[in-house]
Amino acid sequence: MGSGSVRVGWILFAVFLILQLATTHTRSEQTISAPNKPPAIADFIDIASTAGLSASNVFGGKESSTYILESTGTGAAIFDYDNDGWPDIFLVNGTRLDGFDAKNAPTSHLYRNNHDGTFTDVTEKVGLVASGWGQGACVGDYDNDGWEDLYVTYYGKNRLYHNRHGTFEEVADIAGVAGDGKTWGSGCAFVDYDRDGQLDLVVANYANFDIAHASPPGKYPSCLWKGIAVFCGPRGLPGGRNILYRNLGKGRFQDVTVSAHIDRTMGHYCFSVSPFDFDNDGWPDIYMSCDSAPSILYRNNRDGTFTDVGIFSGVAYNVDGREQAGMGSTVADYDGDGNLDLFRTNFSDDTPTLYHNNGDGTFADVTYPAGLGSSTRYLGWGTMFFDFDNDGWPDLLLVNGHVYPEVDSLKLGIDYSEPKLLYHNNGNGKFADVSSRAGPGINTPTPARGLAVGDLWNDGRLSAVVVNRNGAPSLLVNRTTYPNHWIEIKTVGTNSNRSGIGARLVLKTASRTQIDEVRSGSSYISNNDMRVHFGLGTINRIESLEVRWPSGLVERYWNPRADSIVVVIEGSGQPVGRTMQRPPKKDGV
Amino acid sequence: MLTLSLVANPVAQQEDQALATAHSLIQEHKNQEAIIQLKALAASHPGTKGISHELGIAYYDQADYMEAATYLEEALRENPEDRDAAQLLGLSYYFSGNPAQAIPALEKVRFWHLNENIDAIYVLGLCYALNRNYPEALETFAHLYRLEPDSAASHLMLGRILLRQGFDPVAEQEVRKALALSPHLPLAHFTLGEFYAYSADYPKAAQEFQQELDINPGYAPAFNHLGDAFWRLKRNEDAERVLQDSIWLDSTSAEPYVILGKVFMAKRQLPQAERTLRRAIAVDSGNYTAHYFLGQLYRELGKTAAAERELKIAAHIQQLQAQNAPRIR
Repeated sequence: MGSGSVRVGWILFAVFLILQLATTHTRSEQTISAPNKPPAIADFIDIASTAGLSASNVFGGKESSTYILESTGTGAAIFDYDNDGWPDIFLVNGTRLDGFDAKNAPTSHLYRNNHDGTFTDVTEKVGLVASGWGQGACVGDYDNDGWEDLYVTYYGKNRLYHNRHGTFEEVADIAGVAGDGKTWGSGCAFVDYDRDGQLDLVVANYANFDIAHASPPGKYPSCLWKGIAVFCGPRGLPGGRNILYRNLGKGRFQDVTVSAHIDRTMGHYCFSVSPFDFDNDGWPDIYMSCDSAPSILYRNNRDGTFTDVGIFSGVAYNVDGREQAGMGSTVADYDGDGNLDLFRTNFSDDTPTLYHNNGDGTFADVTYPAGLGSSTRYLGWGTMFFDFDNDGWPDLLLVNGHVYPEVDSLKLGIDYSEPKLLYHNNGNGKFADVSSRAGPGINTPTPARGLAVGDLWNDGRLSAVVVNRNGAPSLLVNRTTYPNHWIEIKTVGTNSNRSGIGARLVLKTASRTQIDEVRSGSSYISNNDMRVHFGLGTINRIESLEVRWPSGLVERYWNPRADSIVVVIEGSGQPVGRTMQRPPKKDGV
Repeated sequence: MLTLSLVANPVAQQEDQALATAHSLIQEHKNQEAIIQLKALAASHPGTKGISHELGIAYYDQADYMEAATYLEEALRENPEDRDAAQLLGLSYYFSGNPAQAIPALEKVRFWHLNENIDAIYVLGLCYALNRNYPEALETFAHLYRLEPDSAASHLMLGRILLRQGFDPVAEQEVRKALALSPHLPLAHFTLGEFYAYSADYPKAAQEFQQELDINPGYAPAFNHLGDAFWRLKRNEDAERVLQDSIWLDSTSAEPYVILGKVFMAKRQLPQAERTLRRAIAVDSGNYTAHYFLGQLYRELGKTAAAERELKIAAHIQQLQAQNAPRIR
C-alpha cells in the first residue's frame, strides 16, 4: 500500500477529527474542568452521521416484536473491498414482517472509505443491493484471487458475493453455499479447516422457524417474560443445524457437515462463530456461542472431522455448570500467557463469561475474579477484545440492547436501548469497568447488535462500527490519544489461503511476547478488520514477528517497524521450521 | 302449546346430552375430541347455551390459553355469574401474558370467594404486581397469607414474591420497607442477600446473609448462601466454616455439600472434594452442578472416562429440564 496516500489520508482525517473536536469543545472543557470527576480514560464519540453512514437499519417491528425473527438484528463487516489499502464498511440490513414493495425494500449497504474520515455508499455501484431478512456477514478470499469476498447469512437463502476487482457477483447457488432457503443463518466464518490452502466456510444456524406457522406472543407459557407476553422462543423451537462447507476449488463448495461430524451436536440455537486454535496444535478449532443451550467448541481432529469438546473443556457452561444464553464471542490472549482465551456475551440477568485457557485443553470461567461479573443488567451482543489505548493488553468492548421492546413498559430500570460497556485490561488478569469515563459514544443507549472493530484510518487507533436495530448505525471513534506504540500485520498467503486466515502471529519485544491469529467472523455475526493489531505500550522496537502459516511454514520477520502497517507475504520471511505435519495436497494439486 | 313443548323438549334434551358428553370427555382430558363435538354442536344447534363454557374449559385444559380466553369471554357474556368461567378467564389471560386483562375477572372471583380459591387470588396478586399496582398487590398477598396489610411481614412477603418474578428493584424496595418497620424481621436480610447475589454483588450479598444469621442463627439456607458468596469471593476458609455449620443444622440438603465440594476444589483438597460432591449426589442425584464439578474434578485427576460420564450426566439433566419446559406447538 502506498505510504504517501496513507499520509495524506491521515492528514485529512486529522483535520476531520479536529473539526469534530471543535463542535464539542465546550463540552470537553466542561468534562476536564468538572471537579471531583476521575480523568477520562477514553473519549469515544459517534461520528456515523457526519461520516456518511446514513442508512438506517430496518429489522422487524419498532415498538414490539411479534416473532423471534425480529429480535436478532444484523451484523457488520470491515474489509477492504477495493484493495486501496483502506478498510471499508458493510452493514447487513433486514426487513419487516409486512415487507416492502420492490422499489422501497431496504438493502444492506457497503460504504467505501474516502480516506478522509468520511464514507460513500457504493452499494448499488458494486452490485450489493439485496433485500430480505439479512443476518450476519463474514469475509474471506475463498478463490485466492487477491480480492476479499463476502458471505451474508439470511433467514432464507444465504448469499456469497464473489469480489470481481471491486464489484460483486452473487454466486451462492452456483457455489453450493446458499442453503435450502428454509434455514435461519446467523454467524459465519471462513476457515481453512483442512489446511489445504483454500478457505472453507462454517455457518451457524439459529433455529428452525417457520414464519407461516409461528405462534403469537404469549401463546404458550414459554412465550412470557416477567409475566408479559413476548415473542416465542428460542426454547420450544427446534434448534438449527450448523453447516460446514469444504472448498473444492474453482468456486465450488461441498456440504461436509455430516462427514466432518459437525452435526453430532445439533439444535443449539447458535449465533457467533469464532475460529481459533485453542490447543495450539496448529489446526483451527471452531467456537460457537449458543443461546439457551450449551455453547460448542468443535475441536479439529486433523483428519477432516471435529469433536465437540465444549462441555469437557469447560466453555459450554458457566462456573456453576449452568448453560447461558450466549450471543457474541471474541478471542484474544488477554493475560499474555501464550494461550488464546475466550469471552462471550449473554442475555440479561446474567453476566458475560470470560474463559481463561489453561493451556491443557481446558478452560476456567474466571468472569468474577477478572472483574467482569459486576453487571447483570445489560443484554450483550457484539463484543470484541481490542486494545483501545495500545498499552499492549487487549481491552473489551460490549455492545448491548434488550430483545423485548416491551421491556420499557415494565419500568424495572431495564431499558430496551442500553449503553455499551468498556472494560480496560489492567495487565494483571483483571479488568476495570471504565464505561462511565469513556465518552458519550459508550454511554449513549442504543439497541445495539452487530459490532466490528478495525483501524479505519490506518493510524493505529481502533474504531468500532455498531449496528443498532431499527436505528442509525454508530461509528465510534476515540478522540483520546495515547503515547503508546502499535503495529498491524496484514497477511498474504501464497501456499496458504490468500487472506492468511488461521495464521498464528507471535510478536516478540524485549519485555513481552504477544500472540493472536488472523480470524474471520467473531463478535456477534460480524467480521472485523482482519489485519491483526497489537498495542506495544511504550516499546517502540520489535524484535521479531513469527508467522505460523496454515500451510505449515513458520517464518520469522526481524524488527518489523512499530507504528506501521506491515504486510507479510508467505515465503518472504526467514523460515524457522514447520508446524505439525503438512497436510497432504488434495486432488493432486 | 302442548305440542310445541313436546317438540322443543327433545331438542333441549339432545343439547344437554351433547354437552354432558363433551364435559365427560374434558374430565378425561380428551380435549380434542370434546372440542370437535362441541363445535359440531354449535354448528348444528347455534345459540345453545353452555357450549362456550365447555370449549373454554377444554382449551384451558390443554394449555391453549388464548383460545380459552376467547370462549370464556363468550361464556361470561352468556352468564355473568359463571364463576368457573371467570376464574379460568383470569388465569388464561395471566398465562398468556396479559395481566391487565386478567384483573377484572379475577377480582370477581375474589369477590365471590373471598377466602377460597387461593390460586386465583394468588394470580390476582401477581397480576396487580405485573401491572405495577403494587399497593393492591401488597393487600392481596397480605390477605392471602393472613397478614396485616402494610405490616413488615406483608412487605417482606411481597418483596420475596416479586424477587421470584424477576422484579428485582421493586422487590428490594419492599424488603427495605419491611426492615424499616421491623429491623429484626427474619428473612428480610436473606432476601436482600439473594437480590445482591442475583446482581453478582457478592460482597453486599455476604453482608446481608451474615446479618440474617445474626437474627436467625438456625437458618441453614443463609449459611449455604453465605458460603456460596464466600466461595465466589475466594474466602475459602470462611466458606468452609459456614457450610459445615449448615450441614450440622441440616444434613438432608444437597446444597451445602455442593458448595463445599467447590470450596475443597478451590483449596486443592481433591479427595475431600470428591467425597463431598459424591455425598451431594447421594442426597440429590438430579443436582447438575454437583455432577458438573465432580466431572471437572475427575478431569483434573486425569480420570477422563469418569469425567466424561459425570459431565454428560450434568448436560443431560439440564437438557431434560429444558425439554420439560412447556413446548411451542
